Amino acid sequence: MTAFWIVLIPALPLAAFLINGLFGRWLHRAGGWIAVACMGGSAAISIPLFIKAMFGRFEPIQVTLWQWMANGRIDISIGLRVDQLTCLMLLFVTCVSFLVFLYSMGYMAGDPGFNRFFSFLGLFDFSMLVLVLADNLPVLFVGWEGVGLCSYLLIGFYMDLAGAPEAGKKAFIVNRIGDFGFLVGMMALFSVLGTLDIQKIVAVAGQGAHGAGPLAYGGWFVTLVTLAFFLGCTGKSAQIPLFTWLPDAMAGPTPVSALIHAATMVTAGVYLIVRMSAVFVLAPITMTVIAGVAAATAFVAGSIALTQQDIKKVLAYSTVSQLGFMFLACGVGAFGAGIFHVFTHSFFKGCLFLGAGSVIHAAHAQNLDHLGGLRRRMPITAWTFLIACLSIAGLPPLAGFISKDEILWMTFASGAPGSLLLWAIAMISALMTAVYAFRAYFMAFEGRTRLSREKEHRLHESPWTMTVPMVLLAAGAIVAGALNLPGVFGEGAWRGVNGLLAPVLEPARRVAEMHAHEMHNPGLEKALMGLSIVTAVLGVALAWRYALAAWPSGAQTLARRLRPIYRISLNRWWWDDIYMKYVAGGTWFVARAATWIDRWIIDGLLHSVAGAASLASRGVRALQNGQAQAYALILLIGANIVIGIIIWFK
Amino acid sequence: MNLNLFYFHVVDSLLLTSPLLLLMIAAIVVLAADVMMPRDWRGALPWIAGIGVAASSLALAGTGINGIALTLFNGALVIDRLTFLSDAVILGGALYLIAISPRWLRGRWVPQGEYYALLLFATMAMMALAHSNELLALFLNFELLSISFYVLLGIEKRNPRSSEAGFKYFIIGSLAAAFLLMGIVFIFGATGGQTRFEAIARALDGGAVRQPLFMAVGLGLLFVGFAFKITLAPFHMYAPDVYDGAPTPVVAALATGTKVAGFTALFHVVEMVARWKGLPVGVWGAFYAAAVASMVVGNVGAVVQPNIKRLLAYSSIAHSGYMMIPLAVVLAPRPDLIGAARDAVAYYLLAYTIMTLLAFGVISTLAPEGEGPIAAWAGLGRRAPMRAAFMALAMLSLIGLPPTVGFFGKIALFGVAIDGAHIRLAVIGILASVVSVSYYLRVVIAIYMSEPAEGAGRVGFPNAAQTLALVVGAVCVFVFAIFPWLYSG
Repeated sequence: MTAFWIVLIPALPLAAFLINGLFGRWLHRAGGWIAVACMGGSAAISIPLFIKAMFGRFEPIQVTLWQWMANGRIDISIGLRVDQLTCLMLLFVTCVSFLVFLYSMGYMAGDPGFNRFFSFLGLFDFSMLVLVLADNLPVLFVGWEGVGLCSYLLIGFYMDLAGAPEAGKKAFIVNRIGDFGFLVGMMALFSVLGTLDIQKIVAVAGQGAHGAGPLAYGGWFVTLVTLAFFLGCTGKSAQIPLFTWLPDAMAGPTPVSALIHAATMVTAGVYLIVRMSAVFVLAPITMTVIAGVAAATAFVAGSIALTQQDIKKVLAYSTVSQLGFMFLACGVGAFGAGIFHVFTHSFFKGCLFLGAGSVIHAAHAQNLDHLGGLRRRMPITAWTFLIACLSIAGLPPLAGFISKDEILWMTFASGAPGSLLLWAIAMISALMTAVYAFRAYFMAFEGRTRLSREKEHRLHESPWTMTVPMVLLAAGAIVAGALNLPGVFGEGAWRGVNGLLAPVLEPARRVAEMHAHEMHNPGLEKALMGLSIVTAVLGVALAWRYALAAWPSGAQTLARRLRPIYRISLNRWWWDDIYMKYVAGGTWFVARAATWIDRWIIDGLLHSVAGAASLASRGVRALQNGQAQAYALILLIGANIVIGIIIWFK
Repeated sequence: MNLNLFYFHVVDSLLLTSPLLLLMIAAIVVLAADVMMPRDWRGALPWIAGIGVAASSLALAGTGINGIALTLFNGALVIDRLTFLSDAVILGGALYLIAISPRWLRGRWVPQGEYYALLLFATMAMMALAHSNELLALFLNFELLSISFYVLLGIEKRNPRSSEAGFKYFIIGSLAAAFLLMGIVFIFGATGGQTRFEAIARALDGGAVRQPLFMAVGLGLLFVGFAFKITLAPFHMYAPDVYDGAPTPVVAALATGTKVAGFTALFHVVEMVARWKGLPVGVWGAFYAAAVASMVVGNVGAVVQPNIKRLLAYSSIAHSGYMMIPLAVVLAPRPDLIGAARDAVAYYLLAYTIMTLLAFGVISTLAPEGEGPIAAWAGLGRRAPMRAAFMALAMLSLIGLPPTVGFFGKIALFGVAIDGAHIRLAVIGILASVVSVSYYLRVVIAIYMSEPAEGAGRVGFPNAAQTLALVVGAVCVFVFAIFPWLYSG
């Protein structure tokens, strides 16, 4: 019976996809409500599952549906597995998605592609849930590719909008580079281990911890495999060097951005690493690479977010930066902290995006320079946005503070190579987080309005379908931290998310105990916690000074004084230009060479083959008047060949 | 045999062959109704035919899938797992063709009663051929199928190209039948007068065959007959002309049902000799050569083919080549791989039938413009979006891209080659598939990336039955890929 309910979790969004895709033309708004109901059903199944895993006795549930491919060594089943990690993922994926679906009822009202939109949303969530529930890598890959496809469809949803189809393509192609890494990792694992079942891989990794088996600790094979998988994660989860697609993905409708950033896509990379944590910890080099890339991403993206004018772009770079924090946690071995930040991030980032969507919906503007003073007309949007900003900036006791501070402390205390440097970079990134978040809040909601008279006149608070999700997500951004209070305040009283995930992360922990030297110093932890609170307050103050009190003159002076840094941030470190010029340019060169070869060599060959074929057919035609005789003749020759072979090789 | 036992055997046999008998009854009812009903009631004929096929399908479901082989009529026919699956595919295909036919026939000079009756007879003959378990039954069923198609291919009497197709099929078919009969005579002689497959297998096992070469030549001649039916190179020459000229729904039946039946029967022949220790290596060589030749000729021939039906003819030759791989591997000899080969062939027959029928179904709804040059398909993506998407889907599946049936079918076929350590066959198959990308994508490019020709307006809508058939076909492309157990249990 449990199996039935678990299958229902991904099946309901799939039903939403099919119903809206096939019958949307006749259902109109009802189709949207059906999709909301389906997603609500998934959430209604996931919540009790999570409560049971968190508070009750819980054994992982394995559901093997059917054998999919069996062929020699290949034996792949459609299998789902629900363990504690899955429960946590299911909880926020389904809940946040449900709220986004509900929000879309208001946001997309009257759009000509209303049902198309909901069918894609359903497919998106179905893919993500398959990804989360998969018990083996091929099925996980199906979900992995599925979210890639859906992001392409949804980012390019406004097909007539300039840049939207290109952004969709960019997301797809950049993700494809990452998928290449995933495939390579998967094939390498299969060729050596002969299995793609995650539990079996983890079991082999258990031997590897003692230096035995193909996945021996620190061996080159496990290092290469994990690096390949990490390449996949950099694509899906927008890390350096493959993060450039995510900011462009803002071309899609805002609920899609919320879905991509909070629930259904970018978290997949973190999830994969945590799911395979037993393998990743065996490769210290990979772990260092992950931590380094993650810290760099957090810093670079955070610095870009400081100067972006488009409210959605600010949030997009903010996500990239926050993902950097999550990967940083994974890189220093604090997988639980990484997943917990995914969890809290889904609430406050979801709330921020829905708030931004609400602003765009009401003001028809998304450039921060043209907003301002919206709080008086849109109080609910403003207050929820403010709460989410407080949370992401890391002010206690909000969820963002608890999860981010855990990452900062774990980085400091991990004993990983260069942990002090990583911690310092992360602290600066945290400061920038507070600045960019409150810069966006102040410029959009506070001060004098810079909207045109006409637009200001039409300003209104959004309908309940949009405000209710925002309020609920803001509530989540406040209280979600309670699930994992820091250990320094009374260990053991509350096992929290780290306690929940302990069975899943057990293999990784055992390896870490063998090789790393974690620091335990509650006093220092409390001191650093104080430091990060001070940092957050400082960030808010800076934002208040330059985005509100002394805006725009003070901000302009600052920009002039820090001109080189300002230019780097404003131009997004020239990542896109470099890609355009060298990577895309190089590809162009290769493509042109290929065209030349195609035109002059392959086509030439083809034409000569075609010429030869037509020559041959002309020759055959010359032999005969009625074709049937010729066919009969060839049949006879063929028969002679068959008999000839048999007699010759007897 | 005891008279009582004999009686039960006959009753059992009749019950188990009821799917075939029901088709025959339906065909006779169609013929009678055509003569006796008022002319305006002709529209009922496809319904009668459809009900006949549905009843036959129900009867087939009633017989159930059997793990062990049952022989009927004193060993003339066999019912086993493979025949059950091929019967199911053949009946599904027949229903599909009956659904797309009425609209295609509208306004054409085709005698309706004969058309549906012959379609039913052909379907019955396919199933009978698949069940053949004895040399004479094999020949009779082979001919029954051929004769149905001689008439069906040329049934569009006022169209000279249709008559030409029927006539060509007749000439080449007669020749192939002669080879088949010759092969039967050789085998009959070599085994000392055995005709039943089990008896032949026993004779081969027991060392009763003193002249292995005699037997092997018999197999070779038999194979030539089959090679005509399943369009293996170099016995394929008729296929492009026949596919091009004959009525599209009939061609669809010829391309799918005939091959399902032919491959099933050929598989039984292969099973018969697979355990023979004295099997001359040349028999394997002939199968191997035919597999490679078909893959090469089919794929290379299709590359420059400008006509959609001729292109699909070459494509069907290529797919027959792929399906020969497991048979060649079993004869290598690897009798231990019979089970895997059976599953692979059974699945590929299903996959091939689904995607080929989908392609021909779309073509038939675009008649007559869509039945000729691919250039006429330009811009179809805008003119008929649904059918364009279905055609593109069929093409992608024929290439063998995941997640379609074509992909999983090819994995199964090439997997047998790899298991049997015939890596070379698998590599040739994969290379041939790579070549096939070029011509299948040509169709997709025409549909989506070419501007429609001047004056090409909207194309006519398909009727409800056609739409339903196409949708079901397109869904099947995915369903049997994701839920393979729906088919193989």
